[in-house]
Amino acid sequence: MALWHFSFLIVSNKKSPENMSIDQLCEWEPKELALSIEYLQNILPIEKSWSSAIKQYGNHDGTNIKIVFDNQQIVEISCSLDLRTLTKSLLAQVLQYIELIQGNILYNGIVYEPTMEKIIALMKQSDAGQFCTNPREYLDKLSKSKDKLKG
Amino acid sequence: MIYSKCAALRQLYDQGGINFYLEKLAADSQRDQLDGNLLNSVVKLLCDFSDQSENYVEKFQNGNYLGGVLSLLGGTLRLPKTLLLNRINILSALLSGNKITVDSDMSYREFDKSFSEHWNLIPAMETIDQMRKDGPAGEFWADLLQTLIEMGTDPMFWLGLNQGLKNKLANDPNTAAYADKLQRGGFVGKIKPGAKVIETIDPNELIPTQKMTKSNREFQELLEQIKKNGITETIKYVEYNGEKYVVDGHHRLIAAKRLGFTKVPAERVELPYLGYKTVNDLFW
Repeated sequence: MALWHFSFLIVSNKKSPENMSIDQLCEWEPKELALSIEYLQNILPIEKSWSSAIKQYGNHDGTNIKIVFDNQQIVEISCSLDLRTLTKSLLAQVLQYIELIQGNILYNGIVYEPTMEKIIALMKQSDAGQFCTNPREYLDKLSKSKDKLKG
Repeated sequence: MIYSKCAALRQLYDQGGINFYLEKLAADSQRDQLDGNLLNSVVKLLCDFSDQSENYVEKFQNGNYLGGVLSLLGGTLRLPKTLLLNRINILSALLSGNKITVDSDMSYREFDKSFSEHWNLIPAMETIDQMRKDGPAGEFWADLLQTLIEMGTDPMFWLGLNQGLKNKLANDPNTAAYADKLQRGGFVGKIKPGAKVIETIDPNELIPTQKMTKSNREFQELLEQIKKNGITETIKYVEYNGEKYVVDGHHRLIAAKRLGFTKVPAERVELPYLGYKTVNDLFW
């Protein structure tokens, strides 16, 4: 994962996070996605993943959505937005996809509804957002606390 | 007023003129204090002899900056179609100030002949030695040429371009400055995987810049892959204030440390890696 990626998981909005583990929350039934695959392929063409267990839509370095399988079971859907090149129209399409599969955004352990306002607010606060806005300032800030990150 | 490239692009659409956009970018390149901004340095050069091109806008929008630059030059750059994918080639031609036209029917032989006629070719090592005497910018192109030779690229092909550059560098301090910018833009580091710029270093030298973002399940998958195949893609870092900060490959680095690797393949890149924009740019 690159520093310009804002990454989150997509979880079903039919599940209640209070009653289950993170792993359970992230799982999907393949049939829940069946009708939306064509839409997804239209916005992010399918590409070869580094792992046979992952179906990857979009480029690994750019904006992508990955569906992770364990045998026939979908264990998670992750989304990485490339903040260097993201456009509002692509973001809107990604959000529309999340809505289409009746999903929510799971970011830093908190579930959010997939709205434009919310995701932009999260992106701005994220490491990726801060890095892309001012790479040098980000590294300066980091150098003050690098010992914490080392090791 | 703070504007962005994207805002400028939007205005371009509204006003229907590429020149407006180029002027904005030229102004931007002067204001932009981030060293190594490859795009801006190229665009600044292009402003002198650009044509209108819708393809440019489209490719730029898609994030293919150099593809956009190429499209913009469609009317004035003459190269065999097969060579158009080579970015160094295009940039070299740009920096040398030569106006060449694109010709998809042109053969490689014809191309080579036209370059030979245009620029006096001299042996590779002699060129390299001479270029090194031209100061930092000359050294950059000398290193580039040397790298290409080491990679097995036909040196004769590059000689014409570099000789043209050398001539230009001798007379034009601005071109030297652009070459220097390109150097700091990490362009050499992105020529091709396997070139000498890829190194193997102690993973403890690399400083992570973000927390783990992969889920445990995806990370376990990655760990298994690395255990089986090793690290197949380099970890990208930037050197800043004497430290090496990871910008791409955090999980590979964490995996390498967990697996006890003492060396990892790494590649130095520069800031900005491709030309960043901010989240605010989403609001055109």
